[in-house]
Amino acid sequence: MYEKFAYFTTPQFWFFMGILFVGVAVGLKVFFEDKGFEMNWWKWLLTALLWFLIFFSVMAAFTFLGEGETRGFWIGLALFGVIDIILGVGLWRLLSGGKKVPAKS
Amino acid sequence: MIKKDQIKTKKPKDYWNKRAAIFAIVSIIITWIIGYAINNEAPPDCKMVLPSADFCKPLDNDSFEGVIQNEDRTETIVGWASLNEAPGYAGPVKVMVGIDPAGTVLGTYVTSNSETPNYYERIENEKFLEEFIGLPVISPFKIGEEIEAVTRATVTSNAIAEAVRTASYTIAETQLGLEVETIIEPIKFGAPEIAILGLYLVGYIGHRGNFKYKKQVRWLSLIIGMVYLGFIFNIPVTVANFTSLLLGYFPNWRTNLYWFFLMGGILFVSTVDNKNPYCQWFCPFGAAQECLGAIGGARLWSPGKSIRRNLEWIQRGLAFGAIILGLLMRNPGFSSFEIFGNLFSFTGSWPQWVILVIVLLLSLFIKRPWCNYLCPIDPIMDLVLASHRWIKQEFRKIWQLKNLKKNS
Repeated sequence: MYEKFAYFTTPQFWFFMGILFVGVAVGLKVFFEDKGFEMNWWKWLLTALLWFLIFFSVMAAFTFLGEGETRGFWIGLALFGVIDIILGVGLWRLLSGGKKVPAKS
Repeated sequence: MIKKDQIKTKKPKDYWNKRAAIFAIVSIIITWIIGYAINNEAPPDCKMVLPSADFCKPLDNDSFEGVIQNEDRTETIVGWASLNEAPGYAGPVKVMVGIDPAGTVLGTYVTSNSETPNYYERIENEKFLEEFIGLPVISPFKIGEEIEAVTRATVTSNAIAEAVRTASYTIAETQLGLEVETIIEPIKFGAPEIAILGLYLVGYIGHRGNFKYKKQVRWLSLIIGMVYLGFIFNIPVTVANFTSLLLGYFPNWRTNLYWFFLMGGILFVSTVDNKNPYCQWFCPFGAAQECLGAIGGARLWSPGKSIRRNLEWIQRGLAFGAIILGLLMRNPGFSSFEIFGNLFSFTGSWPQWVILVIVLLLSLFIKRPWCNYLCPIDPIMDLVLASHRWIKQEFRKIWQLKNLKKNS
């Protein structure tokens, strides 16, 4: 079991995960501008906090999996996944509910 | 000419509801009798608590003498075993205790219990029964002193301790000739009881009045319910509570007053007020769903009429099936399929975890999905309220008929 999922603890996997997370974080700025969300410092702070939480959730879950702890993987994924989704939906409503600036053409 | 059976008459609104209610009540009575008849317990093996005994001789229905047979065919007593029970959360917990001739507890063994399996598992995992081994037969066996209760299974821990105490004292008095002091548990009236009474009061007033701050008070009541009844005390109303009532299993009133307030309150206020205050005003799981709904902007899902009817009947079927199973096995633990324990005390089976995740995520977009489509409490309360209403109507009819006859 341990060997089966050992890839998730390799530097290569985390290198690709790092690229993915930074890439999406950069893309978020463009996405918000595209959606016409009026962002300010605290909205960015909340977005960054949620982003770190999601990163932590993925990191924790896949570390469990890499070390052969499949039960821990599922529990971690379910627990943090649900928290991330709930906070994500709340944040989305907060961001989308504010005053909108015209989207860049 | 139109035949009589060709005329389609529209069935009254609650035609099927009445028939389903009668079917449910009759089935419950029949299942109760069948469950009672088929659940004859086999006598427990006293070697579980007297391992060195070759065999056990019954002294009476609940006491045994463990003996070993010597080479010269004489017998030596190695101890006594006694069986006793105490009310747990969902029903009686039966415990067998083994005592050696020196008056020390040799072993304890739960021969049967009706507790929710996830909670009873905690007792086994924490090796709670081993805490009694080595204690003197006339110990008070008090939780918090010699014995440490298992967190989130306190009522079951208390029940086991009480059963062990009574069984041990029986042996102390009858076999060892010792005098024992009867211990009466003090009446426990604290924060959970006050919280429940307060919440019922708020719910009752809130239902009736149409005051300015009703919305705010309801939210406050919901949050208090979620924190107190959910996360802190973990005592939401479950279908197992109703099965316990039907089976006549009541926990010790001195130590579980909140149970009587919770169940008595929901039945009393509902029948007096004709409305169910618990679900809408302080159900902890309902409150959790409403909080998520507030985050996600949930709306009431309104499918077509036929889908809604089908979902309603599925919900009723689940509640009915759960109660029937609990009655048939004479174990309220079998009735429990709710996911409250998963959220509030992090215990449950993996299918329950999957359902919890789905329900929590749905709650963000649909108003109270569990309450509206799966919760067994709602159909049970509907049945109670409808039965109460119909009985009242019938009595009124009889009364009017009687008056009519009198006047004519």
